[in-house]
Amino acid sequence: MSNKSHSAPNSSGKDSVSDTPLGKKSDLESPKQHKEESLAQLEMIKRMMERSTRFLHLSGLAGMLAGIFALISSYIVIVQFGFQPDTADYPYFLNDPAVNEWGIILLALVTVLLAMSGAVYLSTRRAKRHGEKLWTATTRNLLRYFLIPLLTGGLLILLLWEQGYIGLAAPLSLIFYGLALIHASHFSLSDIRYLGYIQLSVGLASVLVMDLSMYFWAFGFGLVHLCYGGYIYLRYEKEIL
Amino acid sequence: MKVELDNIHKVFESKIRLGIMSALLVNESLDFTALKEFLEVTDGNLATHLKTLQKNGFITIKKRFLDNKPNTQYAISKEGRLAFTAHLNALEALLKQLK
Repeated sequence: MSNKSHSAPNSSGKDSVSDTPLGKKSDLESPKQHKEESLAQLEMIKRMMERSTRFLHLSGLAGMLAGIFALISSYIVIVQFGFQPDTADYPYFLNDPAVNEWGIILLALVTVLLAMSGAVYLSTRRAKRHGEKLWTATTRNLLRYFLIPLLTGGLLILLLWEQGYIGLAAPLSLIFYGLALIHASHFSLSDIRYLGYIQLSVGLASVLVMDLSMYFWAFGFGLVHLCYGGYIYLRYEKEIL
Repeated sequence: MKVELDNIHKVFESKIRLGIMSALLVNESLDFTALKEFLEVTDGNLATHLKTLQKNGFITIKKRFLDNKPNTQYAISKEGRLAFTAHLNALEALLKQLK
């Protein structure tokens, strides 16, 4: 077997793709080398396919954090504000004009913002640890597909709220959040699809028992997030921390 | 033992070309920026490899304007899909043979 012109040093130690020839007939001597080269190629192909389709570094800790935020804000809304709709057109603000409805809307927005910032921060940290870039076509797709149902739902909730259907806010936010997760799961961990199905079901069920809808909300956004985040954390992150 | 390497196409000897084909196989089409981000290579380097793939008829190129800026979309061609799949099969066969 001839082995002239051996190519330059093979690995540059960088994580990015270096352009060294692979699988050149003349470079391969033993079956063992063949095997290593082939395995390296397949590994690289797999990584590139993954990187270009799915963002797999979603943080389970962020999910748990979102759950905690949701539990705190549902405590404030239910206990402090006494906001417990039992019908879609719940006349809450007529009963007690002292309560500012903007307080509830603002609290909801702050909760969403905090939860999403936590998710972005912790997922960025995970991606960096794996030597992955954060801002790629994949994460842009993930964000776009997550935000389309979420913003649609948010807008619908506000428009209905404006017309007095404030009791629909809790069920609809669960339903649209579930849809957003299912939509986004095509560009991330497929596990989050199931989280989406759960939120969707909790949201639909809460319409059937309207007087408990705020508790369903606390259950879905709070408890389910805590458990699911913990599950993702144990499954994907524990070993590297 | 004679190992069959004929199906390992010369075009796929470059890791970058292999990476481009991997990304294009699982995406309908990708633009230059997206490919650059995935592969973490320089503009010139990527352009050269894309040209090689195009010359071999493995990818198709579509130029269009996006927000008044030229945007080039790359997609895998039928020939490219066949060649790349054959390459994957060859790799797998090789591994099986060496087990």
